[in-house]
Amino acid sequence: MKIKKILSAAALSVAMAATMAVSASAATVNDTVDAAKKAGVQSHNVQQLSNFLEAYSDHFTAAQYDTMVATLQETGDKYVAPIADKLFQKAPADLTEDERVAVGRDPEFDEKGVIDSLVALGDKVGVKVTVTKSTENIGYDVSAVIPGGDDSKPIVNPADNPVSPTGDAANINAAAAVVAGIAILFAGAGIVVVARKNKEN
Amino acid sequence: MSDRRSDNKHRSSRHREHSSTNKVLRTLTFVLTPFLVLFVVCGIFLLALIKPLSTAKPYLDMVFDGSSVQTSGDSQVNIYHADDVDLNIKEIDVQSEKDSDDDYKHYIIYPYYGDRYGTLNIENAGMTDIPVYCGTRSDVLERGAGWYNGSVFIGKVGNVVIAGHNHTYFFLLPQVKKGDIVTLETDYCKLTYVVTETVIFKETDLTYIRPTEGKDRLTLYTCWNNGRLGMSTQRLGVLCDLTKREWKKVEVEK
Repeated sequence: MKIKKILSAAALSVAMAATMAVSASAATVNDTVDAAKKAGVQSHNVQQLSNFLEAYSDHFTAAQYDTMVATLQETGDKYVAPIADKLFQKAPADLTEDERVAVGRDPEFDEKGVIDSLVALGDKVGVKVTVTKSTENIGYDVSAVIPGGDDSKPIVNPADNPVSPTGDAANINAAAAVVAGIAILFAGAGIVVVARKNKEN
Repeated sequence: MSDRRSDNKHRSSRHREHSSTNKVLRTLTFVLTPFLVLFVVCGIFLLALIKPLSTAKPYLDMVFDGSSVQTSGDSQVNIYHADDVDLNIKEIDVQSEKDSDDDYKHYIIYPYYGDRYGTLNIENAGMTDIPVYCGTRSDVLERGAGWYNGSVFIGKVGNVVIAGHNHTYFFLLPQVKKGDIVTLETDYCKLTYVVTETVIFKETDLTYIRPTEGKDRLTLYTCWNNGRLGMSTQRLGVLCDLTKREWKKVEVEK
């Protein structure tokens, strides 16, 4: 369930982030952000989209913006609307934050479809969207890569998880384990030497 | 004479016996004690291993991992973009009653993911010059606190969310109290906040992370493990209200 929620939210947000094709005008940025809200995207993911658009607005054209808004609407209608209607008898735009979360958790929610359509949209607007199984969080890591001045200097824009693990990573710190092991070995060897020396005396 | 010899012989024999006993004791003491110490040390390690590694790991890191120690250094190798990428500066419209001037046109320097973004200070809690980076992925949080890119850019009106590890940069966050002054400074602005509330929330609860439409807030959070270090499903959140927003002059190439 958690995976579905995070996936749907992250996928939508990054795909938008990936999409982020827009002209430099404020109106087009606002329209895109509005389209995301109306498609049932959670507010923090909408904020990610808004930030991305704001920072990289110069990278996109008005035509790309049109494509992005259309795809957001289509994605909301195709994947979010049926679940929103089934669960709450509401349109995606009218969902509360908690209801948007619930839609993403629904077993019938097609997160793969959302990911696929939005990754494809990224391709259309010149942004490479990657969605990979997360190694540090539940769910997926999503990134939108913008080509730099030339293709050798891309700018990677990962979409952060809303609440990150902040108690340090769960996986083993191999370096610490190795250091501890070596310390024990040295201590053991040292003690054997001392013991032998004492015995000789 | 004969008695004296016999007495000497007896003494010598007793001395040899005594000496022999001492030698055995000395050998036992000098040889076995180090092994006993080794046994105790290994026992402690074994006991530590019985505990979940995730519980012990932050403590191990503090002992063995020098990079986890709080520093204000900002040297880095950013894996998210090339070194010579241009600054991303744009003019924005921001104005609220908290602003220090009447102008509403300001320049913002948009951070690239993984870049040093600002500096956080909460002097009452002993948190000084905490580096804030753009992003909250684990590699970023190893270098400092991290600005969550699903919150507003620092300086804009809304909820600015910053995360930090509880065993390094946000180690002292539990000591922050209501009324403490918090400053957050970037290359283009300086924000002053006052702490209004501390909360404990589950990692699945996004109430404090979500945008706050039209309301300035700073949300700082770290893992909360009932005062202990380590991973947790709970977070300690410190909520702050903005009291002052000061914009800096940013040099822009024409």
